[in-house]
Amino acid sequence: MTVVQYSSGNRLLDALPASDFANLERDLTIVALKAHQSTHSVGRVMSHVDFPIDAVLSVVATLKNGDTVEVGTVGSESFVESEAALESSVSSRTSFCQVQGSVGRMSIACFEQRMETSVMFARFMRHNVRAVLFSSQQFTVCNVKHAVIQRCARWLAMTADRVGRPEFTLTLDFLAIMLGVPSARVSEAADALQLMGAIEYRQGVVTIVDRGRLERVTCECYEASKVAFAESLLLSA
Amino acid sequence: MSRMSDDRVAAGLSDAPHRAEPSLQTEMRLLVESVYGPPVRRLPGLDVGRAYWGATKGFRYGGDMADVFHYGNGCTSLAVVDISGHGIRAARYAGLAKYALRAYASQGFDALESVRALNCLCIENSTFEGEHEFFATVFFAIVDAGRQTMQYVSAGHEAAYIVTPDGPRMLHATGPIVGLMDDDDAFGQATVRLEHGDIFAAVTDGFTEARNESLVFLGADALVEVIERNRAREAEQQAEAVTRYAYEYAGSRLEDDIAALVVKVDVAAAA
Repeated sequence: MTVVQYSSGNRLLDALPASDFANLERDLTIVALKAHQSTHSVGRVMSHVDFPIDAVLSVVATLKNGDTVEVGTVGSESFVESEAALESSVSSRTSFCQVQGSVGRMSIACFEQRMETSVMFARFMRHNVRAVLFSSQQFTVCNVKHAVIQRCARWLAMTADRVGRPEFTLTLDFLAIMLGVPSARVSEAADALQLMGAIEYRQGVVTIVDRGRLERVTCECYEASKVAFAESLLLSA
Repeated sequence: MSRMSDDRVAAGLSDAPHRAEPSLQTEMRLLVESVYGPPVRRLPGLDVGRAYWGATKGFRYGGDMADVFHYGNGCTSLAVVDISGHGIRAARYAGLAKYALRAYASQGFDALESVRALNCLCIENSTFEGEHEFFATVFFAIVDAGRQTMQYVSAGHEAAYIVTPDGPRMLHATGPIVGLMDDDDAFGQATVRLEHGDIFAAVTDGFTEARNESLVFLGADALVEVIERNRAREAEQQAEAVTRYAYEYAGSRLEDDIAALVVKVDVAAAA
C-alpha cells in the first residue's frame, strides 16, 4: 500500500513534523489570489494567516505622503502576517498579492490554537519570524549600501525562488515602486541584466535565462536571506 | 517658433504651430491635446487654469493630465493625474482616468468613492489587458463653490496646496498610489473650506523633480512661490507660469512632463 502524505505546497508547513500534519488539510482553505488583490489591511483585526503556495505576496509600508514601498516579499518559505506568531491580532502592515497564485489560508483562531497546543508548530513559526526579522534588517543595509542593479537582481532571484519557476509577470514600474527607486533607474538595471544575458524582459514578463549570471550580480543579501529561511525550516524535535 | 510653444500644451494652445519633429511626437502631441480637451476658464465661483509641458528628453509626452469638469448639480471636479511610464500608453491611460473619474462623479460618487472605483478599474484593466499594468498618482477633488467646500483624495500625490492670503496649506496625501492594491481601506478623504481669494494649485512630479545644473530638485515649495508671485494674474496665466518656471529652472532640459492646475476661488461669482 502506498501512503501519500498530504503536502500543503507551502515549504514552512511541509517542514512540520508528521504529528503537526494532523488536520492540516482540514484547517487550510486554498485561495487563488489575483495580482494586486489585498490580503491584509493595516490597522485591521487579522482574520486569517496566509501560507503562500505559488503566490508571492508583498508587505508594504505607506508613508504619509502616499509613497508605498515594499518592506517584505513572502512566498512559500513563510507566511503572512508573521506578527500573528507574536500574539498580535491587528495587522501592522498592508499585504497584497504580487504574483498571482494560491495560498493556504488558515483562520486566525485555528492558527492561535495551534500555536498554543503544539510546541513544534509554535517553534517553526517563531523561527520563521526570526528569519523574516533577519531579512528585513539585512535589506535595510541593502537599500542603503547596494546599487540598484544589485537590488533588482536580488529581487528577481528571490521572486523566482518563491514562484518556483524562472518566468513570471512583472512590470518595471511595479518593481520601481517596490524598490522605492525611480522607474528610469530600474529600466537601466533591467536593460543591463538583459544585455549580460541574465534575464529576458518582454511585455511585462521576466524570464531568468541564466541563473548563475543573475546570482553573480546580486549582493550578499540574497544569499544571507535565503540561508536564514532555509535554516528556519530545519528545526529538530 | 520657440521650443517652449511646441512643448507646451496648455488649454487653448492646440493651434500652436507644429515644428518639424518625428511623426510619432506629433501624434503624441495631438493625443495629449485631445486628453486635455478645450480650455475651461470660468466656472461659477472659480477661475480655472491648466497647463502642460512636455519633457525635453526621451519620451517627450507622457501620462500627466489635469482636468476640470462641471456637473449638473453645480459641483466641479478637479483632477491631476500622473500615470507611470511615458509615451502613447501612458497618455491613453491618462484619458482613461480622466473619463472614468468624470463618470464616477457624475453618478454621484464622492471623491473617495471615485478614487476607489478608479483604483479598482486600474487593477481590473491590468488583469484584462495582461502586461499593460499601470499605476498613477491622483489628486481628485469635488468642489462645491456655493458651499465653499472642497472634498479631496490625494492618492500618493505630493504637491497640492491651497494658497490663502495668510499663507499656504499643503493638502497631504490621503492614500497610496492608484493601481497597486485593491485595498479600499488604504484610501481616505478630507474636506477643506475655501474662502474668497484662495488659490488651489497642484502639479505633477515633473515640476517637483525638475533639476537645475547642480542637479538640485525644484521641490514643492517652489509651486507656492510661483503662485504667490503671480497672485494677481488669471488662473490660466498662473498655470502657465508654473510650468514655465520649472522649464527655466531645469535649463530647458525637463526630464519629465508636467501638468499644472490652478483654481482661484471667486465667491462673489458663485452667487
